Amino acid sequence: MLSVDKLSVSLGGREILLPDTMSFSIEPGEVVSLLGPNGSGKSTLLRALAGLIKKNTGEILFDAADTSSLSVKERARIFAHAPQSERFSSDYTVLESVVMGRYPYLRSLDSYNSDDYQTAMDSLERVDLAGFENRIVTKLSGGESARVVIARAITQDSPVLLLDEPAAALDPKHARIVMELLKEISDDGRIILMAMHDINLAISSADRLLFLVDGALVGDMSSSNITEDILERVYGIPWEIWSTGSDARLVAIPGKYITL
Amino acid sequence: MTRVDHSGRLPVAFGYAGVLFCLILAVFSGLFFGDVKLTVPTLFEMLSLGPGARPEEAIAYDVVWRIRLPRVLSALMSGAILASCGVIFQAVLHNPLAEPYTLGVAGGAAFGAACAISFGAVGVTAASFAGSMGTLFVVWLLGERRGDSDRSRLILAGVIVGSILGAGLTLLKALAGERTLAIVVWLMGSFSDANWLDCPPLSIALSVLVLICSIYVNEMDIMASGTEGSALGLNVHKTRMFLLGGASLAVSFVVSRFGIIGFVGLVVPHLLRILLGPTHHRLLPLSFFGGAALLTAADAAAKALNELPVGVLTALVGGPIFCFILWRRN
Repeated sequence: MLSVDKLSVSLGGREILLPDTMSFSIEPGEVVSLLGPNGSGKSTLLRALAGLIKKNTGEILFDAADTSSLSVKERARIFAHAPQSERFSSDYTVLESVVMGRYPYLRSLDSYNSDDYQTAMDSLERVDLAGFENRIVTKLSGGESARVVIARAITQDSPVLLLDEPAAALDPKHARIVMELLKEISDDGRIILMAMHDINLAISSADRLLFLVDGALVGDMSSSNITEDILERVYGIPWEIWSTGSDARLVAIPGKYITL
Repeated sequence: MTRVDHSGRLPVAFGYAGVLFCLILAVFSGLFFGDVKLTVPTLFEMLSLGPGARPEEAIAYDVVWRIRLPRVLSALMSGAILASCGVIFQAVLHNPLAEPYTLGVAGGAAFGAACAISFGAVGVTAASFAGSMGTLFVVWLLGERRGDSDRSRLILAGVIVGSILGAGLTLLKALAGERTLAIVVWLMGSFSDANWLDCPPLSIALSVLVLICSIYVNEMDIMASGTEGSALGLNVHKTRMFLLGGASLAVSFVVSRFGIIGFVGLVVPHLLRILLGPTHHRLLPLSFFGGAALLTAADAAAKALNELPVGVLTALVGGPIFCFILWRRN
């Protein structure tokens, strides 16, 4: 279980996450989506959990153990972080880039072995990039490189996956493939926490939704309990929620932004 | 079993074959050409006598064993150090323009040497080494902060400190009077007075580099890929300190003794990267041999061209090659 207790983070002297509200826990096997407007602190929360930025106060516990005393390598065996966009700038192949996800398990003076390469190949297949292993990463499309990043995070084989807008650059088919893949991964008892902007994709693929506004956690509910009120409070525009016919799936439709 | 098929890249065996061929040719040229003309059989005969022999043809023996061999070895090891440090700097600073002198090591060495020459030309090497180490320390203090995004800060610190030292150097040249020429000659870099005493420190520096490179080869891949290393479990600060510190130290040994030899650390890594891809398992060993071959050849050519400064030759030959690579990349 991942537990966050009164977490606060400051960047450049400004408090990005407010500790009074920032407490929640996620059970193994849960898929949780983090929703909120631009600048609400979604990415910061994910980066703080991954240990990429220092927390000010509060605790991040994994299986009841404090994670702040872990080494960088130990932490990477628990948390995999897939950034929103990766600045691939060297001509590594897709396979060479994805196998770097095995780095946390590599001992000094060792090289990646055939099992590591096999894990990387499997991950590529799972994100629908089979056959891409020898392509050069700098020459991929935005959606393809986003899937390389997701494949690398899966290759890291950690119990907690933190993904920053995993579907933002993907077409509907690949967004669906990735969401189903994450669901599958969570079925092994892993925790998935992903920041998202597509509310309907979040409703359909996450078990639970966390809402952030200005660094405060303002809502925590199961996806099926989403209301028009919370969406309006979070995004500042009216919403309508409809239930579709046979399978009663919820669809949220944004209304007009009225300035008056 | 899955293996990486480096499609579109030169097979690594070709790389080794090409580089080793050039290295052998360069070493032969370095031993063969010079003021004293030797025949090929004489050269091999002298070499086969081994160190410490007292043959009848004492001149040929001394030329080969006392003058040419230590010079060739010094150039060879210096080239290996400069090129591999170029690879390290470009990976760690994640910047294609980075080179072994980016953190001000050369500027410091030049300033130290110029000071020593201005004040009586004693202890030039020691002053130069102290200058480069002092500069490295100041640049590190200014530019290194924990965290991932500060690579440009380190580069900027190197550039700024380098500019200040450059101004200081110009001042020293202006005030040095008749010693200005000595400063200018030192700056151009040369192996003409290399001797056996230069080989132990160079081989120690080279061994340390080989060790660092073999420990941190996977880490360099992560840093060069442009990804956030700590997300993959890499202790970026510590790794950067070891790699940049070790590389700068090794380079200081070269510049403080032989002057500023440019372009080897820039051209060799880029050339190999274009041919073989960026993976450091392939790039690093080849850059040792490639740098050794280039600098040994450049020194042999410098000697053949009436002792032109080798630094000038590497820049004159390396510069256009670099332009060509840059043009091809578009």
